[in-house]
Amino acid sequence: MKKSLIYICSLAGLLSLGSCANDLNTEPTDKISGSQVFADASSAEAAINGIYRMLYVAGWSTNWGSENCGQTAIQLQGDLMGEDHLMKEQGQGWFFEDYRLNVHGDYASTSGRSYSIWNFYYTLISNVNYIIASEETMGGDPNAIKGLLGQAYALRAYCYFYLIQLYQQTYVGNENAPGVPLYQEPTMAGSIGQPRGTVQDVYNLINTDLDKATGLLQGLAQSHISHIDYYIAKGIQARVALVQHNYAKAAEAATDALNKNGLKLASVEDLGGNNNVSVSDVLWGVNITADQSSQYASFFSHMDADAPGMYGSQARQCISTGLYNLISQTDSRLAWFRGQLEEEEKGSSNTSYCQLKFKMADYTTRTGDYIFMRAEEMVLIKAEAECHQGLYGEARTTIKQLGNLRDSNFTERLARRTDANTYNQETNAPLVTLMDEILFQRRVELWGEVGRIFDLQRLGLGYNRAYNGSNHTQTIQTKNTQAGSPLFILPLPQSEIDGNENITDADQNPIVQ
Amino acid sequence: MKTQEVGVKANLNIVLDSDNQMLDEVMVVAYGTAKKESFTGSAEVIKAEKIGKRPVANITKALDGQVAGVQTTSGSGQPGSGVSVVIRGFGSINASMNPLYVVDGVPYDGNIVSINPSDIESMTILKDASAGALYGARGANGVVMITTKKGDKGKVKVNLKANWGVASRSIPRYETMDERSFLETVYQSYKNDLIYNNGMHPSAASVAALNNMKNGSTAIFGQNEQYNPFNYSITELIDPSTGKVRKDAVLKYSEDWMDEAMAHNPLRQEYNVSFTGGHEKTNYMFSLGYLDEKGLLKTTGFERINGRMNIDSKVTNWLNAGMNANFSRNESNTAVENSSGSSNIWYTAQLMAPIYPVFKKDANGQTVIDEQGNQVFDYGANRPAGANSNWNTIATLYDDRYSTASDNLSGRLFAEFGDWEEGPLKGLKLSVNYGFDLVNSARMTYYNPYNGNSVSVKGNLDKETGRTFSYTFNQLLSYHRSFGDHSISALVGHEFYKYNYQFLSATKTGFPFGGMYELDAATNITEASSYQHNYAVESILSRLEYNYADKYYLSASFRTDGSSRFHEDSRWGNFWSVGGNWRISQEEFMKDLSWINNLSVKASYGIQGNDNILNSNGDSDYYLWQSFYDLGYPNANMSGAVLSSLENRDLKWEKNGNLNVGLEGRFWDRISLGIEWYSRKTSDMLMSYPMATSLGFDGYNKNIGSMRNTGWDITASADILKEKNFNWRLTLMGSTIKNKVLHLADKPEIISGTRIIKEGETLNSFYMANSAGVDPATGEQLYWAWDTDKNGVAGERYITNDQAKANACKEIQGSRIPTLYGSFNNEFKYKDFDLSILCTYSIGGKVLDGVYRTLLYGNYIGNARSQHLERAWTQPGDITDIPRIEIGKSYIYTDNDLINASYLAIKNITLGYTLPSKLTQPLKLEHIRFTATGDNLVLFNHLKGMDPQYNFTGGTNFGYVPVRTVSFGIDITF
Repeated sequence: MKKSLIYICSLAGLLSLGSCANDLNTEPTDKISGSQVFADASSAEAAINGIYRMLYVAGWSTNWGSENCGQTAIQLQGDLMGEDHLMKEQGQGWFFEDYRLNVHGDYASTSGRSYSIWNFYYTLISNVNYIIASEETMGGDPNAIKGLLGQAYALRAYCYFYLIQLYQQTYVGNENAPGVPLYQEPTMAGSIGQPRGTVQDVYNLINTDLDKATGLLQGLAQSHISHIDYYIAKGIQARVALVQHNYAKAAEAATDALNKNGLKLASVEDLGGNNNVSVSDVLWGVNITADQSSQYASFFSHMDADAPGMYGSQARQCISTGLYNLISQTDSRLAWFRGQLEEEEKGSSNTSYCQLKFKMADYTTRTGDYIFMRAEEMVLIKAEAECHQGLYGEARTTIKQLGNLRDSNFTERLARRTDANTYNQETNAPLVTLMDEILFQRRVELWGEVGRIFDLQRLGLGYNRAYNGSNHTQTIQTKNTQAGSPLFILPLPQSEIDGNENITDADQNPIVQ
Repeated sequence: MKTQEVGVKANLNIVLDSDNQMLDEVMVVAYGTAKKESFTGSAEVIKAEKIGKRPVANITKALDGQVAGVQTTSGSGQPGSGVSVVIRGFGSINASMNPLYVVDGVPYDGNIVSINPSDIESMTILKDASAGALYGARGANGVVMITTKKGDKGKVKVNLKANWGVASRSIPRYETMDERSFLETVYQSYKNDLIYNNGMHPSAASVAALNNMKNGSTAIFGQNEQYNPFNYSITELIDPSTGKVRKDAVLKYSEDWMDEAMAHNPLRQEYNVSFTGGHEKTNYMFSLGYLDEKGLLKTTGFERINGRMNIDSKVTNWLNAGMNANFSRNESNTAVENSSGSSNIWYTAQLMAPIYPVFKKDANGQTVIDEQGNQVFDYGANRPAGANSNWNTIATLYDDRYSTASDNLSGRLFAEFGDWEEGPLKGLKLSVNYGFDLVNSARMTYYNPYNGNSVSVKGNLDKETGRTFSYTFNQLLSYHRSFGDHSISALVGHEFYKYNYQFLSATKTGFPFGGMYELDAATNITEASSYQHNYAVESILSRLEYNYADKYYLSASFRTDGSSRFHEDSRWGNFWSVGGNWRISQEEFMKDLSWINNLSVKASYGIQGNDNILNSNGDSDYYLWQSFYDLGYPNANMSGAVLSSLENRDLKWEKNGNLNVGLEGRFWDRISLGIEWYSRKTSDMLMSYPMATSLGFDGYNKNIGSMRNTGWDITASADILKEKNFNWRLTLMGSTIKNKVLHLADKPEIISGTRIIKEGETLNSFYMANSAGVDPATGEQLYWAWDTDKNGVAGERYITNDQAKANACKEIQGSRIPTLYGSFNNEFKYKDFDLSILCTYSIGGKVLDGVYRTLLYGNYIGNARSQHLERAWTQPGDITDIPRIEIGKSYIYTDNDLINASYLAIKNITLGYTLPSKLTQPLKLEHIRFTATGDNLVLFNHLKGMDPQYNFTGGTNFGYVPVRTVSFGIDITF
């Protein structure tokens, strides 16, 4: 008995070495803590790159990820909300509801536009704020720290700039209208949602951030085309000033941006399918590698009607006849669009007015770089800003830089325009003034890439899709497309109202269903 | 640990007291066994014979209707798939509601489908705290304890079982329109659009509508009317004055996509062989099983081969040891379901308008045959929206491949020391148990290069491997002694649980040709990923039981758990229970009432815990409290990290306070009755505390919120006839459940789409506008609405056609939770024949049938349409509930979209015949039995096609239809 007791005790002792309190401290193998990331400027590079990557990952909503492919989706959506861009077919509906101004009803869903865009930019902002907050504690090369912070401020301004344009009417005339919540501190568990404030508050922060960014980034070299440098920050500043009708600043900032070493306007031929960040005109873009492509949920999958099996072949993106017919016969950009075709074909770009401007670079990997800013836009901003200020001579010189490159008869064409900074309220009317010409050049040059709705908004324009010879498949005549229409902006997502104690239903934008 | 000893006893129904004719049923419970009559908690046993009647691969599919208080979904018809189970209501909002599965005494992390139902001796469902609190950490949602068969002393028995069956739909299809009605409906829709949206005169619209069907962006027939199935051109086909297809029109072809995708009489075959036996000191059982189940959907199937070995041995008079081991190899071919993607055949085939053929047609409507003599698929480049253009879902079904294979090894080892019959240490026992589950799984998703998803990338192959290894290791010291009428038992123990999951996957594209399923054959890596999950729980547990003269039973348990999911300062949770049982029938004053065989009342209360909070994908979140940067965001070749979670060190266990009161009795030796009432309150509910989306996070994990489930579980069975040659037993089960959300985070309601979680209301109530019918003058859908003034006071109700107004006036419209649900089971025995008929029922509750609604109001012109649209409004004066047809018009959800969820299902009919022994003995056989079974036979409900058990929240989706199985079996023992 005693012997067996000894056996039992020793066996039991052996078998009881079953645990250790340390085993209860588990950590994931594919994630790290914030303190590891912000230890020094070189590890913190990961945080800024994470933000750039978010610009081109899909999935900012619970469902409908196919149409939520990051920044380019928002630019495409903004273009489709206007009058120059149409979808030939409904397809499965991706982007089609944007095209027919039919997304307000989704405001309560975490799949709709209201949520996905809001979630997208504010997720970026919360990440940016962690970088900015680590300024004091981060070690490493001072220039690297400056570079990180400069990029962070510029990115924050960039995000708020899109948010305020998408969730409120344009700046001029609406300065005191409700803005969007502003955050400059990192989010913690228990952080409180901010109220909407005013449009002016938002632009104040955007401008302060851009001033900080340009100050920090000046003189620092760009390490990758995706990284915001001084010139890109200036380019963002030019865009913002244009919306604020601060034309002197817009012209100045655009000029600064164009001073980037090696930057050069590109011919239509060089631009190719607008899918390559190494073309000479690219200021800012992201390089999409095969394993980082968002596959079906990518800008080119939606755009390129010849990409086999891609959505773009089923719901083809076309230019409106209204804009197309304003393009001169000698303009090399005619190559970006099919004209009126005799024979149509399903499932390919062989349909009248189909766009050819944006093509996937490689069908087998579904890749193509995204370009966020190019020199031509800066020329257009500069020309427009000069014209607004009545500097017609300067404006003519500026616009010729681009016009002559595109159209062999541009000088004659431009000579027909009168020196005036007024512009057609009926957007497809014959061009008369210099301003009409500059705005037309902008519409064609930047078709599909900057979002026509943002220009309509800042210029105080509405539109009509149901004109004679219109090729629009959705003329939306029952919908309000007058200047400043509530349908030109989005409602706040319901999740914001639910989760923000400083925002109630009373703060909601008008919802038109 | 005693579970190994019990399997047999549970089956034997040992007669203890012949005077009383009492049947003391011994059941497996947490860390031991108990007699049902003396048990202070709530537990029910499902025995092998009940399980054996169900021809299921996955044991969870046999639970429906077996135990009061257990609700299951119908599950997918995919062979090998399981169902979702909830016990006594809905215990949580963001954390898991699944019960804990325990196999042979140790929590189970393998695939449920790896357990061969033939190997199961019994299943015990632990429903309350007294029964389950010893599983404190993970027992809050109830426990399903599975006990496998073991050997028995005596002669070696060999058992052979074979079963053959065929599958078919258990739920019929929705009633959709044929070619004729479909075209008339499209015509009507186009006509309505021209009249009501473009202001065209009806007579002009009649003609224009025909043209719109033929030409332009709204054309539905493709090029040159290639998809016009009739022998007349569309302009001649429909008479504009009546809107009807002409009578003499004849179909050139008629093909049904769903029929084409279905296998005819897919075979299910199952073979099991087992050997049981034992000697003085050692008992053993080993078995081998093979199951091959072909799916109702072509190409799908499931195959399982498993072997089990259970051995226990009395090594010396102070040492018992044993091991149960099971190996199972499972292979499945599956298909996409429950999505609205082109590759989901349940979506595309169900919604394909009837005019579009599966196979390419020539001008005469004849199928085009290729050079090899095969029918050519129609890829439908010219099919309109909703008809899946550039895709043939039947072709991709054949050419794409979704498969999984897993190897499951489970082991349960035990050693028991002590347990002397006499001496100073009498009644003392130390048990050491080690149980592990190892699952190696491989999954493959392949898109062919020729059609479907991955034409542009020349095929796409994704391979994933996962390795799960978990173990539970415990040391239990128990003591049991009786002193006269007093009997006590005590248990203390320590337990450690560790879980590790390793994942590795890679995706490549670019194949030279189709039918290659290896990454080496492809050119471009598009994704490569790997990660691990780790989880650990350490526990100290104890239990004390006292019994006086088999009259009064008291039990108490205490367990403390530390979970790795919480910060070390908030990690430990204390869980406990107390319970009592008074066997009134043992009292002196009841002795004379001989008709009462047993009567007992019991009550228990305890606290259980849950740490299994789920992320937005419904997967376990193993790192709840920590803040992390996710490294999965590289930018070109530069590392990129994104903040993925916020820190909360205060996060702790979700708790479940569980009160159970019950009465149990048996009378006239014929009638058994069990009535229980429970109240289960979840508090410190693990929820995502909503944050403003503008903070970059929708919420963070916090212990907030509480909820209560209350209900009755009633089980009654009666031996209506007990004759020599004829027995009839009826078992009735009924359960009620009331769920009420008591407290939420900062705002008293969470609205997600058509559902609301609101304080004071049932979880996941429907929240939608009120329909006011269809306007007889215009055919428009009308709604009830009201205006709210500045003070939030609602004004008078009025009728409107304004959807936005109506949507602002949503109200709670009930929920899926039924008023009463349960089953009734009739078992007959006549001479050597036996027959059982199991029916399940559910009364009350509502379903929002998304599939049906798509068939009614789907957005796309190429979608199939419900026959119910035939009663849509067509002209002024029509009184109907379906508005005028305008395909593409979207309607907000109203109470009118809800369908009564009540149903009655004939779940299982089994007829058995056992050969009389005078015939078997000459053959030296102990037992031969033949069975014929119909499983999932019939469902009666309120809408043809609807699956009311699709999920617990009252939705439906484009899923694999549950199957009916008709099978024949033979069971031989020698």
